[in-house]
Amino acid sequence: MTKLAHLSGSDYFHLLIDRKIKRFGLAGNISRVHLQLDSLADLPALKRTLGANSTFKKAANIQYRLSWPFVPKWVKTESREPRIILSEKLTTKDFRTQIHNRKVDNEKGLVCVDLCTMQDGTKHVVVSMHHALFDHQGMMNFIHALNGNFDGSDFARSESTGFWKSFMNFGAMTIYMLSRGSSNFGSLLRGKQSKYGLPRYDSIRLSAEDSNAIEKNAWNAGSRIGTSAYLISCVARSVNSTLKKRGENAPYLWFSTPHKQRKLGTKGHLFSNQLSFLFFKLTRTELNSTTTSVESMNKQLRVQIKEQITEKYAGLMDALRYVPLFLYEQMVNLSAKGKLASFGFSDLGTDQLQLELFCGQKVKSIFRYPPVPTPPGFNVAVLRSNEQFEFVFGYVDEAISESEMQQFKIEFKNHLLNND
Amino acid sequence: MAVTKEHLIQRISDYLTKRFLASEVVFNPKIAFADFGIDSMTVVELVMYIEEEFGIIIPADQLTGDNLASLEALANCAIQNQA
Repeated sequence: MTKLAHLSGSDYFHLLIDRKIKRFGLAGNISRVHLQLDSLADLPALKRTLGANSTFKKAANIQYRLSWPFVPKWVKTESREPRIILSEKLTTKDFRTQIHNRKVDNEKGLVCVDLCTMQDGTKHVVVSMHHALFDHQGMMNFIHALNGNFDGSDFARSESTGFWKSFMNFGAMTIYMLSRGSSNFGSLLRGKQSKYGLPRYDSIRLSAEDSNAIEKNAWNAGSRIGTSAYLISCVARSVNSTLKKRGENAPYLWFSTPHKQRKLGTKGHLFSNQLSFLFFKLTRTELNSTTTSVESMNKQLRVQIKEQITEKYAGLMDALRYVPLFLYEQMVNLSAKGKLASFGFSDLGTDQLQLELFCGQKVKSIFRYPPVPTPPGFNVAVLRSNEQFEFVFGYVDEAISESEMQQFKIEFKNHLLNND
Repeated sequence: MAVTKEHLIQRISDYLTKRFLASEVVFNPKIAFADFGIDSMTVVELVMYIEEEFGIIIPADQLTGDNLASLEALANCAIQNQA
């Protein structure tokens, strides 16, 4: 067994999330990329090509080792072949129960590829990737590597924070989180349950015209330098509205958004997360209009940039690698009574997977399934593809029912397009 | 004392290179931020850096896509707002 690198603080944090999700009977902290291929695609040939891919072979043999009191490590095993599962005559239900629920873990491998032929003859590739091993950029790089089109490095160059700086960050962030954290925020997840149902996915793809209107609305609502604050505000208002319809009047919503910490200017590395988080709280009054919630988010963002919260939080996560996972989980639960956040939100930026061919097979369309951290059981990811916004919603029924989800989508679209 | 555009570009380039860019990247202020993978969050940091270091406040209505497309464009905008 060869040591490859230390787990980053955010790798370890993603393991914590994975552990929480699995505890409720779900597959784990996994993102999936789904490519629908042309119906003439040769899946057995694709299986052979992928099985011989050197990056896939490398990824198949990576495991984590949690050896306290030392920092947990990524290690290389020698014996595993890339995990590729060929399935035929799948129904839509099979797809949901098997493919959407495919587990990737330390024992079987942190990556898996499903090659499926459906009953209607359509052909699909689903790449399931564990979030402890990959951040979003790493996942995009991995798909390009499977396609023979990536020349970056395997792991990030490690940059040590240093003991005293880690210690200071730990202290600063503990005070920051304790002064703001509470469990009194609104959450879609209903009650405490021991198991949750399989995640569902839904999406909205807006036309170029509507997307352009959203950009203008974002500007008019005060969202400067990017549209994220506007998009998040629309999600938050729609979540709040769903809660209100249930008769819940949440004093505020609390959520974090990932912030990448990778060095810019290159595609960088494949494995290991380099990210941190920004934290936002929107009160009942601020949620009354999109403009007031954008204004509040702008203020909170400026304060966090000034106080270097993302760097400090990354330092805190680095320091927490010395804490056993079960203890780490207790610490997180104590601060938020297990609820963690009102909802999840990730801005994935511009679409990096505009593939016409995947390993020589024609691609018809591409979907993404973000992880569904449960709690909160409701996650929204947005990306921009060909000047169009695409929103993907991952959720469990216990957080939002299908009928509530349909209502949510109507309301969300309304907020986006009308800046009310 | 008024800061020159060249000085502003040099200081921001140094900050950007040290803090955000991979060591192998050669930064060019005329090339679009997006081509370096510089996202909106990083641009917010640059605008705040200009405020803190040079006392130049860019009014919110001037934070347009054109003014934030590259360092050259951002520096031009900042210089115009110098007191």
